[in-house]
Formats: sequence, C-alpha cells, structure tokens
Amino acid sequence: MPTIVNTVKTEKHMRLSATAKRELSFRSGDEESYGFSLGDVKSLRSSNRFFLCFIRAILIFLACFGTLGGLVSSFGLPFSLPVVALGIFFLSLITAFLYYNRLTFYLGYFLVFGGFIFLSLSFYWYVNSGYQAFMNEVFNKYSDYFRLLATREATEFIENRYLSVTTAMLFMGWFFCILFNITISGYMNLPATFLLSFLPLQVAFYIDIVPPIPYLCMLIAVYISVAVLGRSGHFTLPYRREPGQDFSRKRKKKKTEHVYFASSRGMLQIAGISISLSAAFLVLSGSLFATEMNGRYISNTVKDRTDELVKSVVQGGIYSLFNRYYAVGGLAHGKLGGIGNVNPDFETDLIIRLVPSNSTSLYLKSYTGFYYKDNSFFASAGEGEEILGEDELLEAEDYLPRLPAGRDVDMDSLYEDHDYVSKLWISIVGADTSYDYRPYFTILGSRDSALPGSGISEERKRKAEERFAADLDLLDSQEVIDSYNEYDAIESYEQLYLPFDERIAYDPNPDISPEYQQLVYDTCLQVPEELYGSLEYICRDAGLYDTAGAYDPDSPHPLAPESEAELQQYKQLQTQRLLIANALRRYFVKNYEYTMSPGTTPRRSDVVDYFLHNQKRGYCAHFASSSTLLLRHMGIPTRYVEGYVCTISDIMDGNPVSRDVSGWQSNADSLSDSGVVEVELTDGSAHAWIEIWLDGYGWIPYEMTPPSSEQQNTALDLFGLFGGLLNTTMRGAGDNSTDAQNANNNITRGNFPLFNGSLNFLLKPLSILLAALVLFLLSIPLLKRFREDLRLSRHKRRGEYGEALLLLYRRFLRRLKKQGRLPSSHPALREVFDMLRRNDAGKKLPPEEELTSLQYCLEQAAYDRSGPDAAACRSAAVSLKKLMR
Amino acid sequence: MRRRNLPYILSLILAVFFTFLLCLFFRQSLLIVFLLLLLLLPIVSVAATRHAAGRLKVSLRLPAEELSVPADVRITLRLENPTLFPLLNCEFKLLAQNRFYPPMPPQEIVVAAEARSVSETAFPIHFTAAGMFCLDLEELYVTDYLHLWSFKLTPGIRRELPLLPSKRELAPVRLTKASVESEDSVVSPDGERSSEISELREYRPGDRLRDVHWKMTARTDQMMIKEYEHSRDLYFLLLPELEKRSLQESLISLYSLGHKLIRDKESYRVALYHCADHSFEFLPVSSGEELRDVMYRLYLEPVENSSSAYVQLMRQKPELNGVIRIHGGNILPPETPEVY
Repeated sequence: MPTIVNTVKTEKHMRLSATAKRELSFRSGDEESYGFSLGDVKSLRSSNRFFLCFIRAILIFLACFGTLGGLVSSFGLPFSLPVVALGIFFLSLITAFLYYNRLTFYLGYFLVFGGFIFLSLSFYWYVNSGYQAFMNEVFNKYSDYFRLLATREATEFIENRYLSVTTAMLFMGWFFCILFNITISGYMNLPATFLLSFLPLQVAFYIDIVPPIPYLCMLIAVYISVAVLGRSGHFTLPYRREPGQDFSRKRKKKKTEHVYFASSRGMLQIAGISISLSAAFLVLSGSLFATEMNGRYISNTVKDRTDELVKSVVQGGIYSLFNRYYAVGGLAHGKLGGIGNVNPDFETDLIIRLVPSNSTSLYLKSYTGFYYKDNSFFASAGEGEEILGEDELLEAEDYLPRLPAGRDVDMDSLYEDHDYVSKLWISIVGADTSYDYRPYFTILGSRDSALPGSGISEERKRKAEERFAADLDLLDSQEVIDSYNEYDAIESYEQLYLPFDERIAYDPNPDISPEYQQLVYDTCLQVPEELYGSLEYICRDAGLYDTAGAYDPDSPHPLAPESEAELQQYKQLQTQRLLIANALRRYFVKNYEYTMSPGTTPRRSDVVDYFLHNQKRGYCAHFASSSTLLLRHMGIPTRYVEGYVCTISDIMDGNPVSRDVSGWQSNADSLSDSGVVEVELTDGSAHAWIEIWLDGYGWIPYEMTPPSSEQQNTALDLFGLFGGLLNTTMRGAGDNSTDAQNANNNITRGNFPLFNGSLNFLLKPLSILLAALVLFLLSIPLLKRFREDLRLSRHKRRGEYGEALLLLYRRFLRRLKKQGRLPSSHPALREVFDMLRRNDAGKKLPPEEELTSLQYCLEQAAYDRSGPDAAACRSAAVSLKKLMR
Repeated sequence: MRRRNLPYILSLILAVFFTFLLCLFFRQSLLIVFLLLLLLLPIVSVAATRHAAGRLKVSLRLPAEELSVPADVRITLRLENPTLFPLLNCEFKLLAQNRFYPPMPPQEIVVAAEARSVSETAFPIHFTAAGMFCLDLEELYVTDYLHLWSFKLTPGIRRELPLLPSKRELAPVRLTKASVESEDSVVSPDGERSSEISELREYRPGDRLRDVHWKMTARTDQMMIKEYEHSRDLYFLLLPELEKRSLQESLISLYSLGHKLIRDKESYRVALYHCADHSFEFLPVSSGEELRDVMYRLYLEPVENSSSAYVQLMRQKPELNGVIRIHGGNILPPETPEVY
C-alpha cells in the first residue's frame, strides 16, 4: 500500500504547483503521524461566480450613484436620472465583472481605461462644460455662504446644462466606478470606500446643503455591506481562486484554519439586509437633516481653521494652501465677523529696521476702509464707486502730527515745531505686497511699485523734495537697501517719516484742499441706516453726547482759521472730537472684553450691531469697526485702518544691528543713541485701528482697542481646540442668533460646567436613540406575546390543536417560572402536575378528573403523533386557562 | 467576548470618539447620523447574531457503512439557520483523532450559515490506518457581523467511526486449537474426558490425532474425527499482542486470520488483554459481525510499546497451550504444535 501511495504522490508532484506539492507532503506527513489526512474542505453550496460579481456590481453602483447623484442634486443641477442611473449601473457591471476570471481581469482593465480615455476625448467639451457648470454652482453657493467677494464664472461651452451635466456625470461615474471597484471588489475596504464617497459629499454638507435622502440611503447601505462583508472575509475574488477551491487553508503552530472564501447567497442577503437597515435607519433619523441642528455653526479652532482653508481654496485655488504668498497674512482687508478665533501662525510677515525714538508703538498702515456694508469696510467711497485714489487721499497725510494711542488728549502738544526725520527699512517676507506699510507720518519712500495702493506718487515726491530736501539723502540706493536683506524677502525698501513724538507746530495744512475735505465729509460719515438705532443707543449709553457738549457736527469747518477767535473755536472743535473718541474708548474698556476668540458673527447679523449689543467681546477689528461707525454717528469723520503695529516690547526683543545711527535720522535728539534695531513682525502683530479727521489738520490715528485682560495663549492647546465650543456662536438661520446671544451673554470662557450646554445639540438625537432603545426593550415581551398569539391562531386555523395546546402550556410554564414554582429547570409534565396537586391542594384547583384529563391531553399532544381531538383540546385549554388564573 | 474581538471593539470606540469630535466641531447632520449609526449598528449586529445563533442547528453526518482502510470518507457538517439573518462568521473547533495515534492539531473552520437555509460543508478524509476515528465538535463561536462579540455554543457533538484493517493473504501456517471451557475458562486438554461421543465428522486441519476415530476411518476410508460432548470447548485461541511499533500489521494479521477462520467455518476466540488490570477476556467469534465487534472492542484498548499479553496469559494460565499469537505483525503458531 505505501508503495502505491508514493507512486500516486509522485505523479501529482509532477503536475501540481509548488503550493500543492507542499500541501501534499503535509498530508502524507499527517497520515504517518495521525493515521489519516484531511483534504480540502468544500462547501456543498456552490458559490456562483457570476453572482459574486453581480453583487459587487450592485454595491459599486450604489456607492457611485449615491455619491454623484447626491452631490449633483445638492447643487440643484439638472441631469437625466434614468440615463445616469442606467449608465452608471452598466459601468458598474463592466468594472465588477473584470474580476470574473484572469482573462477579464488582465485584459479588461486595458479596455476600460482605453474606453475611458477615448470617450473623455470624444466628449471633451460636454464633460468640460458639465464640470464647469458644477464648479460654478459650487463657487456661487460657497460665495453666498461665506460671503466671499470672489466669484467664479467659468465658461460653459455647451449651454445646455441638462446635457453637459449628464455627460459629465457619466464620465465621473466611470472614474468613480473604477475606484470603487478597487475598494469594494478588490479589497472590501470600508475606510477607502467611505473616504471616496464622504469627501465629495462634504462639498455640499460643509455649507449645510443636505443631499436627497435616497442617495444617502444608498451610501449607508454600501457602508454597512462593505463593513460586514469585509470583516467576514467571505468576499474573495473569483479569479483569485483555484477551480473548486472553497476554503483557504492556513497551517499555524497549534491549529489549522480553514476559512470559507465566498458565499454568494450570504453576500446577497447581507446586501439586502443592509439596504433595508439603512432605509429604516434613515426613515427614523432622516428628520435630523431637517432639524434646526443641521448647519448650526459653532466657533472652534478646528472649524475656524477648516473654514479658513476652504475659503482660501475657494478664493485662491488649491495652490493657495501651499503658497503663503497668496495668503493675506494677518490682514482681514476690512472683512469682519468671519473669524471666530484669531490663531496667528507667528511666521514672519515683515522685517523692519529703525532707530527707536520713543516708547510708543509704531503703526504701519496698509489697508484703509471707507464704505461699510455687509460686515466689511471697503476701500471705495461708496457702493459701485471706484477705489479712492491713493494720491488724492494720502495727500492730506503729509506733515500731520499724530496722537499717542489711548492717551488723554493734550492739544497743546500738537502745535510744536518739528525738526526730526527718521528712516525705516522694511522688508516684506510674508505679508501682502500690495501695500507700503507706511508709518505715521511718511514723507517719502524708496519703493516704486506699480501695484495699486502702493508706491509714492509723483506729486507727493515733488512736495517731499520741496519741504524735506535735506532729509532725502537718508534714502539709500536699492543696492544698499537690498544689502540689508539677509532673508528670503519678497521686496525691501525704505521710507522717511516723522516719528510720533515730534513736536509739530500747528500750521494749517496747505495740502488739504476744500474739495478733499468735502470728500472726507461725504465719504467718512457713512453709516448704514439700519444701524442708526443701535448706534444711537450706544452713544447715549456711553455718554458721548454729554462729552460732546456743544459739539455740533453740522457746524462749519473752515480749513484754516483766519483770526485768533476762529483758531480757538477751531481748536475747541477738534478737541471735542478727540474727547468723544476718548470717552468711547473708556466705555469700551469698562464694558467690553478683549479676546482673540470671540466667535464669528451669525449669518444675517451685522457684525457691529452684534458686537455692540450681544457679543461684547472681540479683538481689534471689532473695536475699530464699531468705533468708526459710532464716531461717524456722532458726526466725526472716521475711517477704519488695518496694518501692523510694532510695540516697544517688539523693539526691546529686536536685534541690535548697529550703534551707528548716521544715515538713519536727521536732527535727532538724545534718544537716537539707542542704535539701529531690527524687528521681525509676525502676523500676530497685525492690527486694526481708526483714523479721525481733524478739520484742516488731517487724519489722526487713534487706538480704540482696550488692553487685553486675559492671558492669550495662541498656541494650539487642548483648551484652545475646544475653546470656541464654549462660546456657542452660530452661523445659522435667524432664530439661531437668539441662542447665540444668550450663549454669549451668559457663558464665559473657562466656565466648564457650561461646556455641557454646548453639547445640547447632541443630547437630542442621543436621547431619542436611548428612548427608542428603551422602548424597544420594553416592547420585547409584548412582541413575543404578539408573535405567540399569531402562532396560536395559525395553529387553530390549520387545525393543529395539539400544537396550540402546547403553546398555551408553555405560557403556563413561564408563569410558574416567574412565580418561582417550577420544580426543576426543565420539568416533565408529570412533575408539574405532581407539584400542582401537592402545593395547590385546597386552593382553587380544578377537580382531579379534570386535572388528569388535562395531563393526558397534554401528553397526547406532546408525544402522540395523531394528537388529541379538537374537543379534548378545547376542554384542556379551558382547564389550562383556569389553572393560569 | 474573545481576545480577537478586542481590536474591533477598540476600532469602533475610536470611530465613535472621532465622529463625536467631528460632530462637536462641525455640527453636521450627516456626522450625527453617522454617530447614531455607529452606536446603533453594534447593537443590531450583536442582537441579530444572538437571535440567529440561538436557533442554529448543528449536526455531523458520517457514513453509515462499514469502512476498511484505505478509505476516502466525506464527513458533512450541517448548519441549519432558520432565521432571517445570515451568520457569516461561524467558527468551529474540530478535533479529529484515531485513538491509536496522537490527536491531530485542532481544525478551525470558518463557514457562513446562510439565512433560512442549510449550509453543508464537507471534510474529505483519507484514512490509512485502522482504529477508532473520533470526531469532536466541541466549540462553535458565532461572531457578530462587526466582530465585536462572539457567542460560544457547545454543540457537544462526538462521533466515532471504526475503521477495519485491510485484509491480506496469509501464508500457510499450521495451527492448533486450545481447549477452552464453555464458560469461557480454559483447561488443559488431558484426553481424560469421559464424555460421550456426540457425533463423527470428517477431518479438518488442526484436529488432534487423538480424536481420530480410527475404526471408522478404516471403515470408511475417510479420516473421521470424534466430536465429544465437550469437544466444543476446543477452539482456536487468538491472542493479539498490540504494540505501537507494529500495530497496523498486527491488526491486519488478526483481521485476516479471523476472516480466514470464519471462511473455514471455524469458531474461535480472541483473547482480549486489558493491560490496565492484566485481565483477559475471551471473545467468541464465529461470524464476520462478531469479528468486527471484537475489532471495535480492541480499538478501545490502549496500546503499549511492548505488549506483555502473552507473558501475562502464561502466568495466569500456565496449563494453556495452543495459543495463536499475533505478535509483531506476524502470526505465531503455538510453540508446541501438535504434529499430525
């Protein structure tokens, strides 16, 4: 016998693969060791190869159609539903059957990719137009949602959107079918499948657009199926198996594992159950999509950062994520209310070199906002007008003094002689190059940029040469300027300016023309009508009218006083303006809080109104914007300014470059001994402040932001991550704002118990879930009873009285068990009746004859094939019911 | 719960945690739906599995016919799932062993029990050694769809499949009968029996010379043998000495010789040695069924490295001779064969 076996084995070895040979040698070893060997385990239910591929095709179709259909429907684009559904189903079939056998696999992919490329080239313009139509809609919706200024109007070469979108969907469907085929057919991988469908849908969900529920139902069914099938392991591809091989066999140290490859019927059942389950689930939970919970915005670090990224992508494309040059640095360009948390990245935006002259901050102005609308200060004079010419507006800034930020006003200090000119070297590293970042008060700069809003006008140069001829020598040539640059800077230049503490004698500015002053009054007193009431309330509450005294905003404002009395009146008028501003600032200090995490303004709410009345906490932009409108309301021409601020602490932290200050200033005093200092300004130094117009004098910068009372931790810590959640600022429908107001009025940062309040939105669905579970658990006995009754009536209907009687008996046993009277866990009939006779003797037991006949009838029902007759069963049932009572 | 469920439970907890965080940060209805789904799905999965596992019927089907090695047998595992929920992860632990050999490492078989149907799985087994083949289906783990929980069922199914040895042609060998009392006690044949002759019959190989009825033989020209009343007590006595080294050969020899004797219409006895208490049992065999039963009885006895059966027999019954030993796979005729 052994000889014969060996001969057969040798022949097999010649024909079989290495794996099979190894397996055979294992088995012969088994025979020697154990006296027998185990062959390949086989399933007697043949798994249909066609069927296995077909179910995969269904899953691919559901995933693909659910994703694309849901996405396109979300944006309301027209497409032919039957064409797209049939087309994607056909493509799903093709891709799924690639795995039918080795030939279809190796040959099929070439054909699929070839066809894909051929058709995409043939229908290029249709696909392109459909894609552009979709992207245009997406950008429109995003612009509306985020109130972006950017608009995107890509050309759609095929105007018929119905046709182009349908074609593009089929094209994308092909692409997605191939991807889903890999994730579903190839690997049954849930994370990959989920990401492939979830991320595209986020385009809609991110801006609170909910796709139609059926599409979501398809996707959830796919997720459930893929998760279940993936974990079961019964999804092996048909082409990877040897013919007739049903199980994989793995030898391990102490055991051998046989795992069933594929159960086509099981796959179908799982797919069916998944679809039913997801449909039922969405029927139950679908209302969540329609509740007020959907789209409620809450300010937090993560959401704000992703918002910023999304906005950046919408405005500047994907490229903007990787190139900071296209980012706007720390400037908001007059846009307000959209930043919930200010999280600077502390990367250097500007590098400056200067000779420190005093302890006050150096303001580098970049953006100037005039016209207020839709939570933004625009750099235009009014709706639909062009941006005001820099030359025209900046003329008035020459030779003007400025005030120390936040100090009480001493008008006398304004009217002193000045003889001190300083030089500032600026290098733009990461900031927007559109601006000059001019210090107060710039005389002339070396930059000659063609960008709008930057560079020095010819007129300005001429005036500077006339009045500061001796000081212009301080400006270096471009080679020298560049030689200072030790960084990878975008641009470097120098500016001459009059430092703050220069005592400037009052001399009406000859550059201010009556036309310009009129322009200032025309543009810089603009306040939205709808805010009148709100601003009036604050002005009265802050006591600005008391401070103003006799200040009459409508009084004449001569350019230059012609007499002493007129000069005094003139000085009085300007002083009143500054006193009002100062009173307002004190009001802010007293009643408002400075914070870097105020949360965003609800959609459809005005940022100033919301800040003044509800939020009462904010950062520089909130204070600057609000005070601009409040001062305008008081009749003081004011404008909103953004830029960078270099504080004395920044200067103290700066790097000393040289002790030699020659060439950096002229007519300097003793303070100039401090030497030249280089300071790096990050986006954390970005700031907003206001400028107040003094008649005949020009624009005065004024600091309205109160000092921070909190220790700002701008690093990404755990609290910072969740911090915004405490301040339940919402950007939802109008009714959301009430909650937001309450939240902001009542919740203070760090009040941890109130964190629970921010979880309210989850409590509702979770409590519904819990209630449903409890209800389900409570209803289980009822359901069981109901099912039993159904079975009982079915048995009666079919004339199976014995079965019905046994059902009743089981119910009786359960009752006994509940009462703890069962003689044993599985008592025999005789034991039960003995117990009844023994324990219940003397109670309301039926007569002995009745008991005996009941016992006999039950025995017959249980053991006799023919069973008791109907009449006996009826009387037995009556007796049983008596016993149960 | 089993240890192998832990990674899945942890991954679910992580998924719930991250979805919860995303819900907090983004407040999307889709995320909340996912969160609810992540919370509900495990409950549904475990409940459905529990429901179906409680109603699962497991059985093993073995061939009913008598089997001789070498044999190819197909054992079928039947899983009947009457519920609506398919069970994709039914993991059996199957222990297979020939009692004469060490047990084979456990076989873990993962199959699917499709809903409302009977799923059958076949195990082809190639038997090369005789003995008692035992199949234990001790444990069945039914794991839920998400692999979070495993329900342990104990079908407690144990099946035995006796496998008879193959037969071989025996070389001619001269055998003698031993005297065995009808009450299964053996006495020495002393020839002093005073019992009456019950009948005369023709000579058959192995008959003792002293039993020849010489007169009748001379009269009939045929060798006639006297059958005494107590002559039934004379049987061939086979003593299988099973040793691990030559187990299969010994079984084959015993089985072949047994069959040959039956074919020759000889009644014989097999001395079954119980090595635990060194006792003997003399099992009468006169048909194939009886021989099969003896073989099955033999399969239940442990096998020693070197058998002491003959020594023990001689120690207990020193008067006994004519014992046919099956030793080392060979048939050893009695040491003092009667020459005729």
